[in-house]
Amino acid sequence: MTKRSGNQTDFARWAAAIDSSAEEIKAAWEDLQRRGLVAVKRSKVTVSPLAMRRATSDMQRRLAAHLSGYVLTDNSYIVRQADPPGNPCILNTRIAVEHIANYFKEGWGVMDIERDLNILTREEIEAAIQYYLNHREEIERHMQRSRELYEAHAPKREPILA
Amino acid sequence: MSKFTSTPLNDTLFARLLFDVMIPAEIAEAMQAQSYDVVEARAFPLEMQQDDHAILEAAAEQRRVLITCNYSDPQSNFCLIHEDWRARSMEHAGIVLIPQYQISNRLRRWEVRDRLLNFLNQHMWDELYNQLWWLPQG
Repeated sequence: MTKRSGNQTDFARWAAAIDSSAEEIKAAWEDLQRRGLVAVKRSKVTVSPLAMRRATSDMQRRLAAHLSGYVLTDNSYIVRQADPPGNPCILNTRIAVEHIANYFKEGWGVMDIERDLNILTREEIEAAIQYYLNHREEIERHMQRSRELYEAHAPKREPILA
Repeated sequence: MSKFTSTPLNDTLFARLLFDVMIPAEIAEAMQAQSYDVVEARAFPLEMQQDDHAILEAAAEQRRVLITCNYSDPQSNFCLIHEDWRARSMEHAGIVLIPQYQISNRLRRWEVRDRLLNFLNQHMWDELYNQLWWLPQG
């Protein structure tokens, strides 16, 4: 399955959304297209699920994420799902920054995290840690919420229906 | 065991499991070592791994209980999806929510494994069917 994203190529609009120039976006698009990671089919832009992971530059990664419907953050490996905005997660995965921050706070090294969550690359794990360090207050809030939700709903002894 | 448990599902009374991508492989392997029929979402195609709905659809199709940590994302989490499925009269084989902040602790993860094992040993597949459960606290 490919992700659909709007009509035809509109480099100027995409450039505005990604805060870049139309020329840079065009170059990123053409390279992704040449490698079969994006295409225009029946007047619709389609993006391969592999496009974000196989992007070879920050610009390509941001473009692929934008075209896939994600909300970009200041880190090209970290995105949010839109409407309503989700918690920041690692591009191309459903692993939240909060999850990596939990490992980080427990003293796990990048190699150990990579072994534990073997669908992630070293770059992605480091990006999540960096995002956590740059947005500590926000991520701590998410971690606190998860903790509170679990403690509020999970039964102490006998399991109950949610 | 519920009064409806009369027929084993796929030769067993116990749930078959699907582990979500954020759950470490060693937890899944530990359940497998206890004779549970386990599949990991990490083995699915990338596009499925990225989609909560696709994960639950795969679990429902294979009649597997989904074990996941995704219960708090405001945009998409399995509490919301469970309610959505219920509203649309769609059925799944069960969802068990476990705390990710505990499995990222080297010692507590084994306690989580034991709690999960106890829970699954005490609840047959039909008790879990189409229900959302929070893993009991230690």
